[in-house]
Amino acid sequence: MIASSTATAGGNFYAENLYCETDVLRGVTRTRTGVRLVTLTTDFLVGFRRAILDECGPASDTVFASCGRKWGGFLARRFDAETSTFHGRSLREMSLAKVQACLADLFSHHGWGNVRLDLSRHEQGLIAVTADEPIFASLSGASDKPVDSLLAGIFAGFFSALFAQDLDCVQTSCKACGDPVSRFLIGLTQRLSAARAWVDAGKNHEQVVAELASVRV
Amino acid sequence: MQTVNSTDSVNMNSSHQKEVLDYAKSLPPRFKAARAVEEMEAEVATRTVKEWEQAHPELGAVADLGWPEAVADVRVVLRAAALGMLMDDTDYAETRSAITVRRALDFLDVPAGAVNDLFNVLANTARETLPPAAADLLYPYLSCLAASARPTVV
Repeated sequence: MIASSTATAGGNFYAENLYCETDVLRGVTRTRTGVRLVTLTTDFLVGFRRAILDECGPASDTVFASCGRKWGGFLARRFDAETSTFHGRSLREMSLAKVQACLADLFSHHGWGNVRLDLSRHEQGLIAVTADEPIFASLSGASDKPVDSLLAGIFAGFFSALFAQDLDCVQTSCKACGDPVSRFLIGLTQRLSAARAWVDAGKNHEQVVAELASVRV
Repeated sequence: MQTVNSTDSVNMNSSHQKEVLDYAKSLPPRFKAARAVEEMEAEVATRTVKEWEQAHPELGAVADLGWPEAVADVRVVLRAAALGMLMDDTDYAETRSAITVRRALDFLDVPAGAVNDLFNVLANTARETLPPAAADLLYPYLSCLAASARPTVV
């Protein structure tokens, strides 16, 4: 009762004990706005990932990205509605720093990793996202190519819905490849069209950003 | 309160019982302190942000964010600390509010030292502004914020 009075005044919408409630008798966990949640174990996620890789082969990255894009769109609409209600004003009325903080809270409390936005290249039409402990990079083991296509899809869908523009997302570095953190670039699909090939050719994040600076859309 | 939570299906021994009884006895002054915080919340937050601004004139990005918003955020942190004090939970203010402020300041590239300094200034301002009994009760729940780790993304 005491805690809920804080919840309506701002702060961290996703704070544990307030954000989720489990009805143990029914076996149902819901968020404070009634959205049902389920906890997925490492075993399940590894199995899910392997099944997609086995079934889809070379197309698996596209499948992961496509799933992520759809989920990301739903997530953005829910984030917009919940954050606006909780803070008593629309996202557009909130400072960018606060929106980024809420976004980081959203991802970290759901276990997707710790994310940070870098909007310093927005004049180039690029948003950079850094993710520490992204889920699939943590589960997949060492890899010679980025493995977080699901998360890249989520970012693409999320920011497309948030900005009402068709955006794409390319992963440019990955913890599974030995990089200290995973990095992503979000931008217009036309702008990023060549970036995936550059990453496949071995260019690092900074090199891809530099190449993209010369792309005109 | 924390003692009750931590017993986790174990019968409470006499030491636990004493801790809980002592906590129960401390509730009236804790409620009184929370009331004092509520009454002086705006003053403490405004003074905190002003003092922090003066100590860190280089933080232009925060000025762009808007000092009224900073004051509003500090008020939320202060309120969470008061609730943490009522529940005797030193993690409460961090997880309920300070982490979001920390992330917003991180986005603005405010150095970790300056962020921690905000929470130091808040703890000290509350101690100087609130009635002594309330200040003493609240201080541990604010001072711990300055020692909290920031989000791990580099």
